[in-house]
Amino acid sequence: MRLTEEQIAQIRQTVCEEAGSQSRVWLFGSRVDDTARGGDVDLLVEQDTDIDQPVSLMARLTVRISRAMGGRKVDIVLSAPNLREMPIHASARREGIRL
Amino acid sequence: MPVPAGKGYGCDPRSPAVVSGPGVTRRQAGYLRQSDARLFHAPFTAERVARLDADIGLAEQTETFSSRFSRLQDMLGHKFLPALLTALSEPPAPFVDHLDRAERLGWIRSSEAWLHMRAIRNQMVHPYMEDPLLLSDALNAAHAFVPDLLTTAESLVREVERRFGTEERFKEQHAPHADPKITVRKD
Repeated sequence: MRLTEEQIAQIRQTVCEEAGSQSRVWLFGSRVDDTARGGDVDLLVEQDTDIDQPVSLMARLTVRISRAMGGRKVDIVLSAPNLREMPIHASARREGIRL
Repeated sequence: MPVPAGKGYGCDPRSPAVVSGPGVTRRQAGYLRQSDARLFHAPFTAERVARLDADIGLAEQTETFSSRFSRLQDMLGHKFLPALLTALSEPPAPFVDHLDRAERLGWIRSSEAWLHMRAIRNQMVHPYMEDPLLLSDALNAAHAFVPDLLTTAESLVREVERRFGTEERFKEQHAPHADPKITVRKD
């Protein structure tokens, strides 16, 4: 996994503040691969309760985490009971690393 | 020279001179205002999204709103703003620095809000937007940012008019290496 301890702590902290302490977060995509270089930061954020305004939550998470990582491109995928389950959710859980 | 919709000029550093400025900004802002009023006469619910497949008119209106919103935002942030800062002799800087400068000058509400709006734009055109709830939420979130976007468009246009008078004068100033001391006239 190509994230520093500090970056992981910042991601966890931001997700906790924006999505609540019950939410879980996975890193997936090219950042999981130790041999790759650079690349976007793909995150799956999952929670057990409905999300009222998911797009605004995604936007807030994207902006804050991207800023904390020096402007790196960040892509957030949300999973919640009121959101449709997509193949990307399953593959993120399967191949990703829980932060 | 007319610019094909949605097409940029790639790496040509003169692109701001060609595709941004008061004229095109006012036109694009007007188009967005029209689309916004037409699409959001009622909130965009997941039920309306569910009708998109069957209702071609609604699908086209949605598509038009989404692309006008994206196009105006891209043009203002990535073309007009850097062009205006260049015209004011600001050194080239990363995008986020441009936003911070624009915030200090009162042209945008805040860098944070602009980045937030850009993230919503990216979500709205995201390939995974197959969830009706996500699409309706993205459209409503973009709709909520339309006043902000139109205010920024107007602020930049007014700034150009105040400082340069005409669009032509502005374009002379923000062409690369526009410093009259070093520009060699070819005519």
